[in-house]
Amino acid sequence: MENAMTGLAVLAKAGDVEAFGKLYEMYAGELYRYACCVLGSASYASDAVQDAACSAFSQIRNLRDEKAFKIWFFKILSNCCKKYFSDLKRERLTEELQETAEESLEPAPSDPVLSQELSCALAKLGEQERQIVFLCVIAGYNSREIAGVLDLPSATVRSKLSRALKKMRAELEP
Amino acid sequence: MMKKSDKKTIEELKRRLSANETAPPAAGAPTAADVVRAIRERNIIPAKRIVVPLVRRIAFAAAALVILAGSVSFLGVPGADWGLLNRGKNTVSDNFDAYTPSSNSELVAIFKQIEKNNGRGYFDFSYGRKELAMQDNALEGSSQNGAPTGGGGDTRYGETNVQVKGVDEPDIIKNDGSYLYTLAGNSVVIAKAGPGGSVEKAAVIKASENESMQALFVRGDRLVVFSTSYNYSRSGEEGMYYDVYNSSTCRTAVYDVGDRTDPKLVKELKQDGDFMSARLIDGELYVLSSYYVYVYGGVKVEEACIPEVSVDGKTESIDYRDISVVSETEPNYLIVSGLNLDDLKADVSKKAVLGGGGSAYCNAENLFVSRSVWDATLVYDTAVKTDAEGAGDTVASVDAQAGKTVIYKFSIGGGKVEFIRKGEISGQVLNQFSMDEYDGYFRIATTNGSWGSSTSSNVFVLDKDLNIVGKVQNIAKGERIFAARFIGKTAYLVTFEQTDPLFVVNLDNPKKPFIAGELKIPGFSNYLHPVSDTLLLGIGQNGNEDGILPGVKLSLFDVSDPENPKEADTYIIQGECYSEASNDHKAVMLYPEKGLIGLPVMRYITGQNYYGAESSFLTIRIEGGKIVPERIYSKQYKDNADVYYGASIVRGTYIDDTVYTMSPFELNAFSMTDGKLLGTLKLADMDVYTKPVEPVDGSTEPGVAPEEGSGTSGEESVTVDSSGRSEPVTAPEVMPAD
Repeated sequence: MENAMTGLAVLAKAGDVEAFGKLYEMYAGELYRYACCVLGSASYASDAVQDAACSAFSQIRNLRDEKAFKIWFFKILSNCCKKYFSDLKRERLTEELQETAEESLEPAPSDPVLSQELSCALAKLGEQERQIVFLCVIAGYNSREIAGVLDLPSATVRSKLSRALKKMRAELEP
Repeated sequence: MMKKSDKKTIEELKRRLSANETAPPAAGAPTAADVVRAIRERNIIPAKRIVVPLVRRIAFAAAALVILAGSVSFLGVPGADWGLLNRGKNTVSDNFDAYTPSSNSELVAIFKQIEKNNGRGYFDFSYGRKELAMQDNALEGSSQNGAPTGGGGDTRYGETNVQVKGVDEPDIIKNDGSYLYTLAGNSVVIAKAGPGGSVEKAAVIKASENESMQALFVRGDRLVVFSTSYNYSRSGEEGMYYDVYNSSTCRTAVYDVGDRTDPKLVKELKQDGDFMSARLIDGELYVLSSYYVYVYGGVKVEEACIPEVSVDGKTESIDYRDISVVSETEPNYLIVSGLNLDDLKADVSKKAVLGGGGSAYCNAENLFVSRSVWDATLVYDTAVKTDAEGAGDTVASVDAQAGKTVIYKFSIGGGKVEFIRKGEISGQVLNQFSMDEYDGYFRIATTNGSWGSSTSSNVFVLDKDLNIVGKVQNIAKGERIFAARFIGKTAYLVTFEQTDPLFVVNLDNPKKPFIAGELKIPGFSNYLHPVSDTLLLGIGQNGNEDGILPGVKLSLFDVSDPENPKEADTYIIQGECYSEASNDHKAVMLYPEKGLIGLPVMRYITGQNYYGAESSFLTIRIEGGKIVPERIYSKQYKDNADVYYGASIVRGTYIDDTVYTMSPFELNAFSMTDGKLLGTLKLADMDVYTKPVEPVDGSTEPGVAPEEGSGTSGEESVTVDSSGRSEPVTAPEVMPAD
């Protein structure tokens, strides 16, 4: 798999879109699930992943180590999520203003993809906290790797992760 | 260490996300086809972009200096009051934006200030640093020219294709006419090139643990091996461990290879940082490293901030008088050391600049190192925004602010290095070929902006004090430089967006450069090689009016009339091909005595469950204003698809009538008379890749597709399309197809 991946990355660098597509496919599920969890919206997640893919292809020649494709892609996706998250927040704020009747802390997106419980737990977290949590839970990265993706010191990642998990614990525990 | 409760929560999250009813359906993800369509709709091609060093802390760093200097006005303002900074005893007097600190404690103070401004308590560059190292190496385009080392008699042998004649550049293969020195599998293999094309292992030098070998030089009985050692220590808990990066060391090991079977280490130079590049000029060796000061895990700023150099085990800090601090400070040193291979007892000369480095251009007198200064955050956000919404006005302005290039000029000679001064220009440098010095003037080509329509390119001419004396700006709006070459008083630039303009810039009058002519053709070149006074060979990518097409394109440009450059001939290697030569000039083989130019060509084979490649080495000659294919050297394996990329040919060289091709695993010798495979030497383990089966036969005649007995993939059988020359461009389908 690693060989095929390296080969595809070489192809993609030479401008082969199809090869890039195959490369993307290897991680599509993981990337999308990650975006879903961070953004809490299926359509936003899909857009974020697609944007990240386009951005990744245009920058693929900057990827020096083909084996680092996944973490490199996550870095790009995390930036896209950051942007979409603020868009989403703005959108929800507008909605909120329109329907002042409803009183919820963090209104659910129009197309929720997560279970009620999980959504509630996540509502307590900010964008960066969500990214940290799911880089750990979904992408399986350690604090040093997460630090690399988000450009934070590892120690900060560790303390933020711990704090975020604590916040979620109350909601998740039966 | 991670708390138990945290671990439990992570497990719980994992469980919920994997449970059917609660997990987001992966099916909702955009499919590969969606992504491919989106990329094509947006007309995105991979940008050959200068890599952005992770320098988001530059602003902070500069701010630190502001505070030190007691002035608040100079941040990024040219001509601001630098006098306050020039207080060191050894101030580079007439250079207003670089100065020498007056003591070690002044350097420590600078770092403390950076540390404070970072608001972090330490510099954590663990990720960025590693990436930076890789980028620098790649940017660098190492190369070399084997300084002729008296291979003896009238043996003709290949030397590295270098930018400046007589200035050797390091590479992964060196050739002295009797032996080949290769770097493969993190080991140096010295191979005896025997009669009849035999290749035998004479000696192997293995890297030590955590050491990554980078490149080689050979001069007579001296073999120089460059490497970078990364030092980590592991901390933390299982599940959440982290590696603490301590430091990296650039090692220059000089071996006596008087006995080729028994190399002896005779000199060892270690300098802080990662190996960046080196040059060898008639026995004088100059080594560049990049040292990101990393303070973490109990390391004190005071201990880490003064770079060290160790010679044969004796370690010394670089004297503060040999350090220059520039305005765009970041906690990253460029360290340049010089030594004489012919007099190893002489002192090692060392200089450092606080403020990184990128590509290096070097001639016999001067060394110029460029460094991109970006606000990475700004650029990145811009990129994402542009990508998502299409380019806007803000993008252009943000881009323009985001990048400039600073140039460090060093004088070199006799193994001694002196920092002369710093200059700066707008835009980003592509690679070493974007720089050149001629007749006392330093010329440099840059591209402004990084994204979409905001880009444009420039050529600047600087005097010996690095003041801009002449310039041409706003070349090719919306495009970027893909290749540059300065030849005498002319600059040739290839920019690309849709079609490939070749610009001819007249530099006769350094103060008044102008665009003399341009030529628009499909595709683009990544490397320009002067074939004669009037002919230029371009190696790059095939294309048509709509963008790029698969296939490697060689273009022969007739520049005899600078106002009317012509594409005299083209030669297209059809299919999904790639040539390492378009990425690295050292992959180009030059055999002047036979008038031959060689380059590796790889063709990809995509099957249902595998991605393979077929690798060959093509030689051409330029004759009567035409590109004439000479021969294709290719080792045939039973099933081409078994040969993965790792086995692809990356270099070619020659001794008399034998061509040697090198892949990361093998060295193969071919007869130039009939193309037959003469000998093979395994360089490194191929276990991770599919092992090649017995070679079937040597080669194929030019212009004839190799007989693929196995009938791997049908029609577009490798090689060169049978006419050997492509007409206007018979576009093989592939690209936008829909």
